[in-house]
Amino acid sequence: MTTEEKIAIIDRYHSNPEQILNILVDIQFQSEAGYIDQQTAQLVAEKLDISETRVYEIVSFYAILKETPQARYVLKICDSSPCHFSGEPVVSQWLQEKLGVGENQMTQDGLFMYHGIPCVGACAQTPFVKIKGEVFPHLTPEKLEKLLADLKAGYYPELVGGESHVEA
Amino acid sequence: MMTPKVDVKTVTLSIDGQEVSVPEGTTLMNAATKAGIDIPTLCYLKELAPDGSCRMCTVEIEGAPKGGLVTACTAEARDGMVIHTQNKKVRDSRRFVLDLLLSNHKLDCFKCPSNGDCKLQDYALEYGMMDTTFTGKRQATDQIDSSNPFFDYDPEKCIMCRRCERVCAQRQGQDVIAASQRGFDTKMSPSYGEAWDQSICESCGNCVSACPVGALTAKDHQKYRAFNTTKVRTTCPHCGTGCQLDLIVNQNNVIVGAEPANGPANRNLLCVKGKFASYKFVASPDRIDTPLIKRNGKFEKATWEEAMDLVASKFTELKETYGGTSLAGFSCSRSTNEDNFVFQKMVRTAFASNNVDNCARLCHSASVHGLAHTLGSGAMTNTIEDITTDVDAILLIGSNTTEAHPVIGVQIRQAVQHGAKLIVVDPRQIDLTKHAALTIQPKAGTNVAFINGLMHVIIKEGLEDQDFINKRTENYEAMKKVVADYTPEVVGKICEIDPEAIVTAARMYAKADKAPIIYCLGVTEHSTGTEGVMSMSNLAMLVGKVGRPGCGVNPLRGQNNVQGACDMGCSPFDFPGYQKVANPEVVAKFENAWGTELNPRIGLTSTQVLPAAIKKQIHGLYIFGEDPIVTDPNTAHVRKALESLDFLVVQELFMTETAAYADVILPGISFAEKDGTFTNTERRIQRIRKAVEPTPGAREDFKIFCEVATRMGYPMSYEASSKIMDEIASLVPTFGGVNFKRLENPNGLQWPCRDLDDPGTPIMHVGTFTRGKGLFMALPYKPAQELPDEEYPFLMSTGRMLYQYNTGAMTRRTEGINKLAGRSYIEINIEDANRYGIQDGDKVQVSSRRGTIETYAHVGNIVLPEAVFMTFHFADGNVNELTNSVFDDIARIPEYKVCAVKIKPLNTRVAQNVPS
Amino acid sequence: MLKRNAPVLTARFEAMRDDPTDVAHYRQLGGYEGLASVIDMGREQALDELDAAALLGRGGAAYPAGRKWRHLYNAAGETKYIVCNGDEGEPGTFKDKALVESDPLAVIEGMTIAGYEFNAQQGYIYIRGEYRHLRAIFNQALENARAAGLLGDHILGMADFNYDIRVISGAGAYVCGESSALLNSIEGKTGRPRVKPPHLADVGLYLKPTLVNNVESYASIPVIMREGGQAFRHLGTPGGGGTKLICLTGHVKNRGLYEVDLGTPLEDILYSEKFGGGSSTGRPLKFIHFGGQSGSIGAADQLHDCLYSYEDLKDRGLAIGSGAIVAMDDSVGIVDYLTSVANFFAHESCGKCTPCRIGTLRILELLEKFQQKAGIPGDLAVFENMVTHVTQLSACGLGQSVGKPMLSGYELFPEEFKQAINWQTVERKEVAW
Ligand SMILES: Cc1cc2nc3c(=O)[nH]c(=O)nc-3n(C[C@H](O)[C@H](O)[C@H](O)COP(=O)(O)O)c2cc1C
Ligand code: SF4
Ligand code: FES
Repeated sequence: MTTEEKIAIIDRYHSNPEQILNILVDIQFQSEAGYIDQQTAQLVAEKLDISETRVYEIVSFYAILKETPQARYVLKICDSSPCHFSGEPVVSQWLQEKLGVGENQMTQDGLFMYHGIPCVGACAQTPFVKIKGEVFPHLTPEKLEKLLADLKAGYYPELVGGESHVEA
Repeated sequence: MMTPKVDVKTVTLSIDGQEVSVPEGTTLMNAATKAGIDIPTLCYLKELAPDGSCRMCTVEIEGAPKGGLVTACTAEARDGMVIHTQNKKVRDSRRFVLDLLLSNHKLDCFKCPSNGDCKLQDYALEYGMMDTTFTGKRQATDQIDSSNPFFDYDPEKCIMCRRCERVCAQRQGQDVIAASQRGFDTKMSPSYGEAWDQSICESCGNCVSACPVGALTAKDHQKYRAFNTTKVRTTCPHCGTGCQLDLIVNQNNVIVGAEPANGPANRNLLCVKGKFASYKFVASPDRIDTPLIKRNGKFEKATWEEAMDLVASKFTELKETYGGTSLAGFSCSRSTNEDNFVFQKMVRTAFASNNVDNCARLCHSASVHGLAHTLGSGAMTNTIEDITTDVDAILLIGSNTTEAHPVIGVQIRQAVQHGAKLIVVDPRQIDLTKHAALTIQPKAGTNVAFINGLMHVIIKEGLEDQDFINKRTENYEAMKKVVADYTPEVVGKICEIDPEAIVTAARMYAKADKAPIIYCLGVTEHSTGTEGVMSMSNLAMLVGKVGRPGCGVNPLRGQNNVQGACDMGCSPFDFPGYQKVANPEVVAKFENAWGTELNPRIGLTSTQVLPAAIKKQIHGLYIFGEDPIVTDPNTAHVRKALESLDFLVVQELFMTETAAYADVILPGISFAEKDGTFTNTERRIQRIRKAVEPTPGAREDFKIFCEVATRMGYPMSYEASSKIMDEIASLVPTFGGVNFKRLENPNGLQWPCRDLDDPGTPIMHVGTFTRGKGLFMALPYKPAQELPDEEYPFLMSTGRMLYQYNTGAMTRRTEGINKLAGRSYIEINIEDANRYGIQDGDKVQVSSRRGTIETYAHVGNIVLPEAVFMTFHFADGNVNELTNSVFDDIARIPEYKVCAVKIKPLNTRVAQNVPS
Repeated sequence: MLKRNAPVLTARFEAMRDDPTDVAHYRQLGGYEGLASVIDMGREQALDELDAAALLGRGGAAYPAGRKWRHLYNAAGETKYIVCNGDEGEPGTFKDKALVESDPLAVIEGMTIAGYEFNAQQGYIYIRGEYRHLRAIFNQALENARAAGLLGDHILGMADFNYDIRVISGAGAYVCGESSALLNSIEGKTGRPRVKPPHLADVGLYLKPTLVNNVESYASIPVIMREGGQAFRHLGTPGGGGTKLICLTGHVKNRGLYEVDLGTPLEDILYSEKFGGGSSTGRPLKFIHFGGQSGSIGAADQLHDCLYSYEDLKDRGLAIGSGAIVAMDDSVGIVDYLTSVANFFAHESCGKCTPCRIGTLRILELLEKFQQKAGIPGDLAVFENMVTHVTQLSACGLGQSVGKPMLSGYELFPEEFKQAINWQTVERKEVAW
């Protein structure tokens, strides 16, 4: 992602510090490695006229924001109790088997990573995974298999029934 | 914002059975303090709003919901409350908090530098919690960051009180460290966990002072334990802010550290120099420890008897041969009022000369003259606290405050945080521009035009204070006539700035209710320095912003006691207290008091003494603690002057560049080895106190002067410095109420302080000016004397930087300082650098019509294109080889801020490719 | 007219499915009548209606909206802010999402009424980061309202009614639902709670008096103003008026969002086909966790005659909270369940105050020890003590809530805790607190 593209995002929010979370999340979701690096934090700080330290504090505090490189697809699994006791562990176990990595570890090809997150308000659709802003609901092993295959093939599927809104 | 005073209700409550009445809104913590009850806390800092995070201050409100436990630092007192601060429930709660903290804290108290100096340890002992009952996850081990030259950070000892963060962000205004992550993983760290020395940390160490445990500790603290030391309250020896600090002295008579104290000018803050570089030099092995006499071009050790004999006989001989006016003395604005008083008394009595001056000549003589002329008193009109709290705007001109007066600088940052609009007028993009509502970068040397431009706009828009002008000033019409020509367009051209900015600045300043002018050497160090200063008076009077809180004309004086050296009469024109040599009644008064005949003719300024030496009009010179080779403009010229002298005495702590030219060197003692007073920039007289025994072989400075005078036939002696102050009080009306006993008050005394009932004067010119009516001056703009041309295409300014102090004689003795700023550099704009093929850090040659030096390029955008900037702290690349010794004709101040230079890259990388 | 057992807040969901942001359609369905009534009746009267409605805050704390509005009404200061809390972080809750997604104009109308009431110029809605995709819909609704002269300058042609609303998105932090943390987050700061006092109604967003209400609370405002406070109250019980959106999750057949009159029998909610439809696993329901992770737990077999109302639940030490109802069957052990809850608290603690920052993790660690059946005699007392201390000493509602699920669960199923202790081992040393 070029500096110009980042600046374009910041400008879209009129360099308004109130919109710092939107700015950071937008940049992160559009960046290749899925995180906010220090240079980007400096850029945002400068444009918003706040200190870099505060930008970093924010990046490190909010769970959606990342300060280290992420996999191409980060599969997020709800581990709050409503989901946790309604089949979610099946998903994480299955992912661990299929991907051969533990939680928060990247697959060798850099494509996948999974980790638990707290409730995202999709408890009625559990088990599901969430990728960026998108929920893939009511998963079964078959559906998961297909999802991974699609993602590997570079095809970002929109599964029926869930929320399927790719970020603008 | 000042809220209008309303009658606050008083509430009465019971704390541990004791009745207390406090104003409504008082926190339980403060109410308890009032009742003499101590409440434990780890996160509370009295200068800041409560954080309520450590939860140690928990107390019980009888009958309150949820178990009745509240934090005393946040809960407010209400009528009829019954509070328990020590019952079982409260103590159990605190024990729980301590247990949690200890469960995530490295427990190696005996190895910890903060052993004996740690609040967690204190409370652990008090509550019997010497160990933790928890096992489980802990902060990772071995994370110590020791990259900062002065302090270490060990996250394993951090208790997350966030004092460091709050001090850094809200008091220092720098914002280096913050709580990253969240929950248990929360950790204080600089941005992206970078090492301290990679961060924007200014090494002020205020976080270190605020840390209640051993997480942030001074490296020097590793060498002592608090219980083996004593503390001595004194005043920082560096800049004119006058910060109060405690020197920490170990059992071997060595100062091992410094802590900020709650002085009126610094309120528990220090800068890097005060915190880390105010004491090492005292015990430096470089200290001169015996008199030295130059024989055959070499210094040889001598006894005091020999040295005194030689000094007295040589000066006597010169005086007898050429008259007293052939002798001169430069006094030391780093030393005490008492030393300065005795020094000028020695020159005036024993030498029979008024050729006495101090380094104010080089920095703020223009302020002394300009302000005395227009307002009647040549000093800051208001106090530091007054111009940085509760103001609406600040007009900052020619002051790089965060570097030259760091603790005032951070108070300006705080003012901005509290809503003040800062207008920065400076040729360079100084640090404070980051906090400014408006930044204007005029060409150096155009201040008079700029201020005329502001006044033009103010008058045109009817923003002047006609009532004030009518009642309190004179000569307004003449001034008005001159500024009529200075339209924004005209001034925009002269200053090379956007004319609109002049209009905006004029409105911001004029319309603000409370707005001080703060200025520094960017205004004074010009061939039109005095005019620049008088322009400040013009502007403030035009809008009636003098003699009121939050306003005034405020020069920031450079050296710790330059105000005092001037006050004490180390000036060719003035006896102590600005009593004029030109006034025969004054001369008679001092003749009477000192029982001897005095020279009635005004003397030469230091800047006149040097050329006079070359012309063989000055034969003998006594330099007390100054280093003109480094500090005066046009070094070649200074060298020649010193070489022309028949006899030069230098009294010093260290072998300086200037001392090398002396015939006799006398070892004096430092601020930490004597009692006395300094007067800070806001006219505040504050004590310094002897913390350690003097370096063996050195002598107390005023005693040396007494001895010289006595041997020259004018007997003089003082038992102690307090007695000197008593004499000052008897001779100087504005010091009439000053004595050492009163100065024990932690606020010191601000002169004028005329008698023992006078509490001192925080704000001057209230109701009436010292000179009666304020005097407007009609001041046309005159360009600087040497401007860039084809051969010397860069306009060079000089100034200060944060880490070193002036010649560095003191600061260079602290290794960490040299690590941060160890060599000279020249700031150059990136455009010019690209044009010349110069990269950051490259060696370059800089020349003016007077000399050539080599230094290192600092490429960036702090200076505008075609301008360059150098500091004067370094002996390598001494910038004063280049500066222009032309002077303002009123104050005789040199034009340090403008001269023309050329630059040649000495780029070795390129050179290697060039065939020889 | 409001009828019992008929949808109120969700009434338009179906009808406006095609375009929930269509202002004209919204108006046909009663939209903006609430605002019109307020302008008609005047500001003081509006406060009285709100009091009469007995609307308790739907964000979880159940603070009377009437009292909060009156406080702000009386707060000194010209500039006041309106903030809508759409952070919806309580696990098992997704009702605010539904409102924002399916009837955003109702939320906007509620916030606009507040804007009018307090002469505010600016309102904010904070939508949690996990619902970022809802920004588009909400922004569209705002745009349409502006175009219809219902936001922006001179609303409804009135000279001094100038008010607009801005959307702010979170980025994943439960604690940002806490009102003062929410305001920090809106200001572009890290969402850690502020020190109280002062009250946010006096010193809130940018230090100005500020109203913070939940999405569902705002959505209820137009109904109250349109139909009158009494009518609203009559939908509920004396202890709290109106309908409530509930989210049924866990081991019930029909997981999902429902709107019920306050006072509906809990058994109906759990077991009737109209709502939960009973257990989804074939095993009996064992316990119900109300109001999100920060709420208390009730045993299913002790709630037969319980009404879903503020007062009935309160009598049993329970609370409606956010409206989450998590049902667990008898396969779920209480220790396992609470470990998961503790995990949530430890993960979401902002890290500011000691008891919550370290205490929540220590609670989690002890529960994990219990899961391994590795507790030692004395641990149960320590558990209870620890939870009590964290609850009493924490600075904000997050840490202060830990006690509710932990202590209620412990009291209901003490046997399961006892089984987590290895009684053969030596008793632990008594702790000093
Ligand atoms: C940790 C914590 C999280 C909260 N999360 C939310 C939330 O997501 N949504 C919400 O409306 N209120 C939440 N609240 C409650 C709010 O602090 C506040 O009471 C509420 O927004 C007020 O609106 P109401 O009176 O309309 O309910 C939370 C409180 C705490 C302590
Ligand atoms: S209780 Fe928890 S979330 Fe609340 S302030 Fe304390 S640490 Fe932060
Ligand atoms: S002093 Fe009150 S919580 Fe720290």
